[in-house]
Amino acid sequence: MSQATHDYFPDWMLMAYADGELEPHERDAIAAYVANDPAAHLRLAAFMRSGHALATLFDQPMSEPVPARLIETVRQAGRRAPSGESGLAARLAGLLTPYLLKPSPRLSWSGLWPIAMAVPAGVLAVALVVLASSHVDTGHEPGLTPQMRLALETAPSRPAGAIEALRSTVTPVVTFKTGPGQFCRQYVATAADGARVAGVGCRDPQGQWRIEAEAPYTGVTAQAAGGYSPAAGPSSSALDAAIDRLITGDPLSAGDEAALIARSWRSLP
Amino acid sequence: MKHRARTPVRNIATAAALSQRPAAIGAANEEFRGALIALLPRLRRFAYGLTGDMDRADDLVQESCVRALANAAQWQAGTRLDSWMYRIAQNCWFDQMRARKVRGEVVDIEAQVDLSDGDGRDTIEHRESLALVSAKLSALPRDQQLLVGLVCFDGMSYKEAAAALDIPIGTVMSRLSRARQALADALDPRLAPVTRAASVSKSGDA
Repeated sequence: MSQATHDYFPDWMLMAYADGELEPHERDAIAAYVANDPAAHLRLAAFMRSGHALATLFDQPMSEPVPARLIETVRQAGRRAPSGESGLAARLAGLLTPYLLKPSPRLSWSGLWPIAMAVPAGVLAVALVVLASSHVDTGHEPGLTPQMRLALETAPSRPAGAIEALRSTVTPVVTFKTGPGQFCRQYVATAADGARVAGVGCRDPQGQWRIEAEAPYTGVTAQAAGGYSPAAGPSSSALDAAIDRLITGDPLSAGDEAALIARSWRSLP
Repeated sequence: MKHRARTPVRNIATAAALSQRPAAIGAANEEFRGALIALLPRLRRFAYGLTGDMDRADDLVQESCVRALANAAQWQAGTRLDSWMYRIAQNCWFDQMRARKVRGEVVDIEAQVDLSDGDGRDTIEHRESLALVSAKLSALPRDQQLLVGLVCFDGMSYKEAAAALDIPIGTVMSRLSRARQALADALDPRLAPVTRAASVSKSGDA
């Protein structure tokens, strides 16, 4: 019998053979080896199969266009918008960047999002630009479910970034007070099919929550460099306008908010 | 009164870190962005391999790109962008998996393995198989994942992969063969008993 039947070729060598990585004389030796050893032949077959399968199994991205949002992310992430550039991203970047680096007393509502504190301005700007063109329904609350009411009444606000993780149906993100002394909360609501809206609900003196404004929110997933995964704050210029119309003073701190919820939304005298 | 002197910064540490971000972030140059865009198809494929789901892959790629651009100063021009980006994608993916575990979501590879129990057809073309392979790949040591990406997905030679990762070619072969054995079960259940028997000593990572 051939000398090859007494050799043992390690797995890595069979793999190298399967991958066409061996020199001619090594190839001959392996060929003789597997021809005389059914077990080795199976080992080789496994490597050949895995090589072929792995080369094709995940190939879908190679035959389809890269999603525009990814290209846009690479083009824009971490970049400060040039002055004079128009568009939502540029506008937000312009608003947010100086604020983030040096707090300013004059600020668009956009900067109030807790998430804005946690995401580089450019990232936020890019993420926000992915927001669907928003139409805003104001004034009435066709979709105020008991669950939503419960969330607005009792749930603590969370950074908007936590929403993706929580997959809550309704997640408040910030609480603030209005001129007449009512409290309002901005929230992100997720429908069963994954669709999201961002909105503002206010609590009237009778304890009823009413939606003041709502706009589509497309579940932006731009991620911060810091390792957690904040989505962009839900935002739209129309929603911002509604909030700017309502808000007085600062949004509540987490502690104040918790105390307020514990008192069933009764302000301290 | 819209005047607000203070805003609810809930994450003070992050806000502070933000103010100290190096100027290099904003200066990540056009060449880097261009190279990253050119790499996106391959990066998506690598992410697809890790996640087993195209949407998750794209989310992972997006996070990876943001993280890469924030750390662009650490990347040295002239060195390989692909292996550098693959590593960032791995880090992001492991962070995501850890976060899901913390949140109590099911990250159970065995649960996905069950999906492959079928009628014995060639399952390679099926989504279940893809999920299974992806789950196994995701559970491999990162060095092995990188080699699967560079050699099996991207078609690099062992020599090119060794250069890309700056490791000896022998290490490429030992790591890659361990990875391939681990994946073989998922790729063809009929061969599973054989490959298990043939890979007695595959613990650890040289």
